[in-house]
Amino acid sequence: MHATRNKTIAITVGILPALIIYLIFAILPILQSFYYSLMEWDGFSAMQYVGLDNFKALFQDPLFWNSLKNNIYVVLASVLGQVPIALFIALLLNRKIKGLKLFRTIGFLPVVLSTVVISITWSLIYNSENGLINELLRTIGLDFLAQNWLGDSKWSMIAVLVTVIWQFVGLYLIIFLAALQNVPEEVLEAARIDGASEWKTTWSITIPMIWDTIIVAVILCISGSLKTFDLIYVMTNGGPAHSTDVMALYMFNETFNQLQYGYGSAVSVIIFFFSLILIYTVTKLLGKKMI
Amino acid sequence: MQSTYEKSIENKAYQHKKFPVKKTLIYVVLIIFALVNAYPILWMVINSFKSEQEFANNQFGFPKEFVIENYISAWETANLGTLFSNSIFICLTATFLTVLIGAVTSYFLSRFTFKLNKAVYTFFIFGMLIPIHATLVPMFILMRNIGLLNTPITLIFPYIAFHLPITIFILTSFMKAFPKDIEESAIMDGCGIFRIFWSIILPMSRPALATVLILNFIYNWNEFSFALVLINDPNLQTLPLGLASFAGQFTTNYGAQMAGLTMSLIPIIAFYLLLEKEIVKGMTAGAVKG
Amino acid sequence: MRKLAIMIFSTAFLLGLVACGGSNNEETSGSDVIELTLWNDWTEDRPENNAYKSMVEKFNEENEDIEVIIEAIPHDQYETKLRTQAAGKQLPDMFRVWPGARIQPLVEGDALLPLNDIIDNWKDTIPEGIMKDYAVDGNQYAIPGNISETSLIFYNKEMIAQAGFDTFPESYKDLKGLIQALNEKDITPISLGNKAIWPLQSVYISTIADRFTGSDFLPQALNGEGTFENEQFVQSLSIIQELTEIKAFNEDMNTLDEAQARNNFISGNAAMHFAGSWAIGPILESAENIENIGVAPFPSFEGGEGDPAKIAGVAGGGIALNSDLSEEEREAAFKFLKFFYSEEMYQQLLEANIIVPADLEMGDEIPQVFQEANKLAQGGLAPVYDATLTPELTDLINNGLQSITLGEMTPEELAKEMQAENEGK
Repeated sequence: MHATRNKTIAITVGILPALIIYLIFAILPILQSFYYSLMEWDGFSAMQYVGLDNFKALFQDPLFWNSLKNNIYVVLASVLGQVPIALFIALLLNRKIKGLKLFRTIGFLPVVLSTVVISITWSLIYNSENGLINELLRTIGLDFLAQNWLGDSKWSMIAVLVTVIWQFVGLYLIIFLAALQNVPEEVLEAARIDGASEWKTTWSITIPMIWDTIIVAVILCISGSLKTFDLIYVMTNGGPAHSTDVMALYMFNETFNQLQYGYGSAVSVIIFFFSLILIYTVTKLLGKKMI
Repeated sequence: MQSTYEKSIENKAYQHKKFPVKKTLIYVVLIIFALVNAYPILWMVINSFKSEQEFANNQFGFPKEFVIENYISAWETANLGTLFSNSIFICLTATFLTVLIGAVTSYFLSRFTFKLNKAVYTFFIFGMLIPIHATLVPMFILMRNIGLLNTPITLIFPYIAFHLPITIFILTSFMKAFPKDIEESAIMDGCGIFRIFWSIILPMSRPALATVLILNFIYNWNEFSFALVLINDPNLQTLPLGLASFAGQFTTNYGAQMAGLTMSLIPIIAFYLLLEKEIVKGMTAGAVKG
Repeated sequence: MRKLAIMIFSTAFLLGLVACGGSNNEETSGSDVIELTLWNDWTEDRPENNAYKSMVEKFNEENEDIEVIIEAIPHDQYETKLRTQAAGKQLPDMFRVWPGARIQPLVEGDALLPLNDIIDNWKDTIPEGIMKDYAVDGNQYAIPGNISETSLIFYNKEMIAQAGFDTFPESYKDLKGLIQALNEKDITPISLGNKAIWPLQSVYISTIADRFTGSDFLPQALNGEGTFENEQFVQSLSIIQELTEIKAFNEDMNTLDEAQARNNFISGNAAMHFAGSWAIGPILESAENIENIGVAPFPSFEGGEGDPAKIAGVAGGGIALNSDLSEEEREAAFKFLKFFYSEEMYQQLLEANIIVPADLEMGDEIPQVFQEANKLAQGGLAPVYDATLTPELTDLINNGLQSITLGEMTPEELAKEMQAENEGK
């Protein structure tokens, strides 16, 4: 009895600081924002209660659906691009090779780099007239493949997605590298002695052992992708002609440029619940209950 | 540095005839990966030495003459000295507090069974889904109401609150993987709950701790929106705001901007290098094996 | 690592306590000095910003009982910050504002103090036509500091001579001829950077549409007396379509920003660049041979109902006052505005190649390009679209024009959408 009470006290004392800060400075503001979603408000005048009108308007706005569609592309590209590439590189780096540390550090660099630099340099690479990609294609005689990558609404989303994938591979790389340290060398050694190829040990031993971490990465990917803002904001600001608009960007523009705080908040409510549903579904599918 | 002993082990491990081909392939992949990743940084550093006129005329090559003035003018006009020290203070404080209280919370969530465990954990995970721009106005009003606008510690609170979720998420999933019997033997030895946390769980979590420390540091170092709306006093501002100040309505001083960005990258890379070895060093000997 | 962590953490924490203690003392000091915070976007080290800042400094030196505190916010984030603080009812004492539609919501929210009591101070220096850009419903809310002509044509004299033109074409028909001749010589005719989507609207349509419709059209369309489906207006939108079709622009126009396009023009990669008076300074600073650069007005269009001497332009550089100022602060702020918007500042701005609302003598040292641009403003100013339209309509036309260049929308469709949006209000 005594021990349980001590335990309860310890748990309470341990969790309370995090819970309090989190409640006040994260939950409270977002609840406030949810509340705004029921209002019509331009940020200057008095608020007016409009019930679910903002949501009704939202669901009828083709620009919202457009941003949702693009956002789903970002989620897919991140989950199917970032995670496998990061895992692959992590496996390559998880061995004793020369220059290991250098490769690891360089691999991580895009994560810390300013989005301004990423945006400028990738825009230079994509430039239709003298960009690296088109120059390369022209040099090897594939002129017809050269495109106006960021300037043509058919290609702009693809171009942005490649950059998005590139930007965050390093993040998952270090998460996977950390997890790979948990795979005991002896087990792999034993498998090798039994004659298993590296391919096989990776598939049947390493990957299952870090499966939980892969799920963690996928969840981070989904939640991060649905909030994605910074890079697209500076790189295309949703353009040309809304072809790279995503939900957070749409919300930002509605709120701060069009002065529709209520409407913008309604978008944030959708982002929140959409992520929730997506993560719940994915974790069910991948066989682990994270939520 | 590898010892000859290690090398001999390595050679033994890969003694099949495919070996050189495979190794070359690995290097090719890694070198391509490295080139693609290093290019933007190189571009940034090179262009930080170009005059405005040269930037306008030549964005790809090396500068004809290296203009060091960009660094000096960036440092002075954007008041980078003050901004650097503000950023370092806020960043370190927020990062270490987040990881500390996040680690304690994760410890209880991952190693104890209690009634509200799952609920509390799920509640924290919700925080990962909050789009930050939706909270700018409410956060501003909240900070105004509790009198925390425009102080040296203002930014620390939202930074902790917004990054606790991802910190707890990563740490909990890591700590859950530890075998159950670690604490049991410690309790036999008469260790208290917090003692177990401090001397067993924390050291075992080093790779994950290093990961979340780095993540938090990056997020806080680059965080822009809260810093923009919650701080007015130029002497309390953080670095990202200063770095945005090179862009005007119709013009941008790219040379100075690149110089500022290059300088701002140094602390973050240093922090990364300091902790990176913890990520890959592996677990402390014998603590967890299997 | 643990030791290191503890060490860093505890020093950081101590530093925090110290820094905290420090800031608390600050607030109690200086009771008889009236402090006025002034928000602006003068973050960049540019001649005009330095002129503004030096005026503030001088004011502070001359007035011991008033202290104007400058808080500079990067331009792109300025409105986000201003609107957040406005939503939290925490606007600063004085802040930079943009005219027309952009101060409207602030006025409607009763956030601004009318300056009617002091405008007589400028009745001899600033023409009424410019002054009214900062007026809403008959109340004045700021004093213009400069004029942005939004539609000037900068051209490379050598290049248009190569295409067989000794003088810049005056009609649209001839301009098309020039564009064709340049294309035949493999020279990019017009350097355009429309990534930020406002240039085609603010620079191009503001003046082109005015040439077609006349200056009464826009206010009438907005208040319902006219319509955006007006044939002349649709025709002005088709000009953008036509210019795209005859390859007047660089192919990467939708991925470059204004400054990059300007740089391409400066470095001789294109024969023309259409931009506002804001481009004069940067062009003069970076161009290798200033003599080679000319300025021209937009051409005339056949069948247009507007006055071809006009150019789109709008006042800028205004500072608004918070409506919550106390009696004392109000007087101090008035004093500051009178000092700030003086001939001395306009003179300094002129030297920084900024077009000013006051009519001043210009010395010979003022560059030719600037003098010509300044002369163009004398023909009268047409309304600038994004300074007149509501934010929703601005967003619509900006994106719509981009869609037109991509061939995803027709001028008729855009006009129709704009009319629908306007009626929905």
